[in-house]
Amino acid sequence: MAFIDQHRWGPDFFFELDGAVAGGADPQLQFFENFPGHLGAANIAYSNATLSIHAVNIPLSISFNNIIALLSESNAGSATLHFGLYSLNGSTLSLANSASAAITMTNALSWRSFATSATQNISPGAWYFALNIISGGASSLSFYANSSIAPGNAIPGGFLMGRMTATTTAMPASIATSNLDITGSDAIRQPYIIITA
Amino acid sequence: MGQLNFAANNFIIPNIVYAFNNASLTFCPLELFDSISWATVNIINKVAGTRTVTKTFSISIGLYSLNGSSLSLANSIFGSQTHQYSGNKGGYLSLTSASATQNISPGTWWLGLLISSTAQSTNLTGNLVGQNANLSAANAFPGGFIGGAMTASTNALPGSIATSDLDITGQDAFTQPIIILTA
Repeated sequence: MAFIDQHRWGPDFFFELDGAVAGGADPQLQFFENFPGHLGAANIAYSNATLSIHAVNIPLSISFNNIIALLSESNAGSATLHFGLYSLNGSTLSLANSASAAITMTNALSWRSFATSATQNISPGAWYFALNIISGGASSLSFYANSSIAPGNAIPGGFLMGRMTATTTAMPASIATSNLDITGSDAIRQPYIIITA
Repeated sequence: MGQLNFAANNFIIPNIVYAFNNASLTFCPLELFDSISWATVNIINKVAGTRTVTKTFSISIGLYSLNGSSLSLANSIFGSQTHQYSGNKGGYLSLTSASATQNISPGTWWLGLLISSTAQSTNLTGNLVGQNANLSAANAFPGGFIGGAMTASTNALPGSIATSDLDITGQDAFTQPIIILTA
């Protein structure tokens, strides 16, 4: 909310706009989910060590505190989950924050919480969620994900989502969107991710 | 920020009908990006069964804020509706009896839904339309609170409740009816 601070009116009728809501603090979200949970289509196997990334519009500020995903774990084993929060400037994605979890699978559908590496209050606007899972047993681990269609052509317009074609074991500090595959269902599949404050 | 004419916990109305638990309080989130007045709350219900009897829904919805791990009642609204069963029947139920006027500010709020009905039986079941989420994880939800259900029955909206007293495991805990606010 923008409002006029009357104390800043001067002889030249100068005024400033203040971005805070009347009464003080900006409104905060207590959680954010990248899509409503009931719209998830299936548990879908991931590609080991292949980073996927997609855009979200975060409408109000939220604290980067807990990152949570829903995984289907079909047998015992271990995996490391990596989450990256990226911003986009032009055609370059830049890593703003990250979180990770080392898990031992439980042979069940499980919520998994990622430990964040740094505190941050995520500002409203467009952000990009990246996920990368490192496991030796890819077939035993699936994401709960939304429905993914498979258009024959690449997504036109600005960057929305894609995935790296080369494997990586880390969250890169920056990624050129031109290096991402943006064609087909694999490129635009989105795992269910929740942030809670 | 502006003023909304309507808001909902979910604008995508699925073709999912599920039986509610009589006298059980369920919390679901309402995220507002602008303000809206607390005046009218609509919910969709449906009766299914095989007996020709009258069925009355009494629905209370509490507007709660969450501070730490404590949900506090800020406002409430009430309504009731009577169905004479004749095949699967239902419709919008509009709740307009708010306990106080309020302009709800942007941010995350929590709707506590409490329904009691007559003749809630295996032969005549009251249902709600909403999302029966496939979120049936074996473990409790980690991180902050995103919704849950009381395990004990109650006949009134509590003034406050600790989130630790709510069930946050399995599909029942995250089931949400469609709730639409209009100014």
